[in-house]
Amino acid sequence: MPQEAIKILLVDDEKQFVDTLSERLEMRGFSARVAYSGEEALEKVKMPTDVIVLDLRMPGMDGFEVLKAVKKSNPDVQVIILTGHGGDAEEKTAYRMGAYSFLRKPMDIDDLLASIRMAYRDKIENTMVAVSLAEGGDFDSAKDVLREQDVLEEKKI
Amino acid sequence: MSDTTCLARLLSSAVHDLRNVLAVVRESSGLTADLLRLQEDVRKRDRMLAALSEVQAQVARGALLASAMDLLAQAGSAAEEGTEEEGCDLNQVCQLFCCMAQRLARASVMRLEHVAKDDQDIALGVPAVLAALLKVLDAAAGAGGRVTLRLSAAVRHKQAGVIVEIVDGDNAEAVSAALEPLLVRISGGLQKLLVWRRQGPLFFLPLAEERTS
Repeated sequence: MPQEAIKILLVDDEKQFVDTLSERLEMRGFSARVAYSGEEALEKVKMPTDVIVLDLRMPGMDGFEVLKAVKKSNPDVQVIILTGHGGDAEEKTAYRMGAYSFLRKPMDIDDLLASIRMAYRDKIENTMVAVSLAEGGDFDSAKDVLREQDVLEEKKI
Repeated sequence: MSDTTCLARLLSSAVHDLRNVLAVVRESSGLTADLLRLQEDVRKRDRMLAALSEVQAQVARGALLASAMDLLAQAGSAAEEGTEEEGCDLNQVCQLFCCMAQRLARASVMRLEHVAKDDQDIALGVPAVLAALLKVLDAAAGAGGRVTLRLSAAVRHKQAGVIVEIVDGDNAEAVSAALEPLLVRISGGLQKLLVWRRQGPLFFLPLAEERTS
């Protein structure tokens, strides 16, 4: 089976920032797509996505609205908030709404990578637990089901 | 809208933009470094990577300043919303002060250091703590400066405050004399408990009742 990269969607209205970040993630083996607005993000998340890296303050639909919509339509997608407007209140709200982690710009790329990897691992674990419950608590059967769906195939992380 | 709210909102907006500027600089220099690592001319490559690492260091410095300004903007908003009496984390405010007042200290050949500690909530707003610390800095500068002040949030006799240590200077005696009327001198056995100290004169700046969660 071919290795498959973790699918990341970067959402930020700072074009220069996301374009550069996307290029750096691609160089490290991730599959990165970009969206320059909340509305565009909701369109692009219809394609397979593992992790969204999301800004909060954007013209039009803001990050909280995107987070709410994503958690409703794709609850298994992990959302990492990466913002320049990071007060404690925003951080608490983001976690309450289901964000996986909260990072402030300018971040160290290694911190972002660590967060993406952990978010992805937790996503897989959540999927395994869900499938295992559906298989009557049989974890091994769940693994077989997920292998058939290629979810457990080793990814470039 | 009050003057404080106006300043807090504008500061918050500017900090947001500043963080974006720093993020673009960091990612662009990071990408350049990534690409350079693929180059074969080792001498030129290493020289350019060294220059880029300086860019990254300055971005980190800018990020620290942005965090401090962010906290200041939040304190301004809290004051306007009437939530100021909820208090602040003294350890965080000491860090903020050392970051923002470094330039002021440098004018009197002084340095400010912060000893990192766990959160310490006190029932006093950020502006009041900053004003008290600035008074200490002004007193030290008035006595001729030329010292390093190390600040650490602490509790003494159930009172929260800041331990101020005077270190690394040839003017410690004069600065000590200037701080004496403002602060409580710490001596005797308590000094031994402060493992991070560097043998300089120690003072305590009492600020508010200790708050337990």
